[in-house]
Amino acid sequence: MHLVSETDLLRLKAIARLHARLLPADVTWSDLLQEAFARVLDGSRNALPGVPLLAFLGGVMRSIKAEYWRRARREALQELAVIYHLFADDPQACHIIAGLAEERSPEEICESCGMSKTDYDSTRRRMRRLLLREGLRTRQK
Amino acid sequence: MKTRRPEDSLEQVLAALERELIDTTDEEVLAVAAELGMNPSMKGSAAFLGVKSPLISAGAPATSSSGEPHPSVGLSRRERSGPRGS
Repeated sequence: MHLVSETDLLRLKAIARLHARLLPADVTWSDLLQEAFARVLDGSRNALPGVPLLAFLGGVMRSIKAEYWRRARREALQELAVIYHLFADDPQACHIIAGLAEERSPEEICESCGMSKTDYDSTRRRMRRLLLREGLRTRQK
Repeated sequence: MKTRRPEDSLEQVLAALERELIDTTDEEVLAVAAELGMNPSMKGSAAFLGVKSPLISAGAPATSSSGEPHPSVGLSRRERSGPRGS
């Protein structure tokens, strides 16, 4: 079993927070992350050969979140609105989110909203930083 | 025009944002932590509030510049996130 570094833990914390904002109020991002670790350790989820641990744990968290969704029957449209709201101050980020939702390639996204490759990369960097800030802040949920 | 189910769109967006976070460099992670007044290299840093990993090795450094390098420190973005779609 590969181990994770402390910086990886911070990435996982931000990923857990990304997913947990869409979960019922009584389930925290920490619950989601710990449950993912637990499933890997108890063998109920086995890492696939060639899939890095970080990406695998992210997938486990998405799968756990999907279970909650099925139980809670939450509306996907409502959840998408939550994500748009997160990037509401950044119109270019909203364009990228819309493109991702439609499975468009980066080139297609740039073309459809008149964004240069540099603008696209800068926007992605802003998005990463916002996600990290949201993920590392000390407020619980 | 192709109609997409909202839950599929949501999954696409979340998977892409998750990849962005996995692909973040150590430097970006540490810079954001510093912006928030956190120093992950300090023991008991607020950055780790709520995070306990049974998979972390004892004394694994937050950065590649302190102490013995951890196996995952310095991995490329591709090595951390794996092939697209995984």
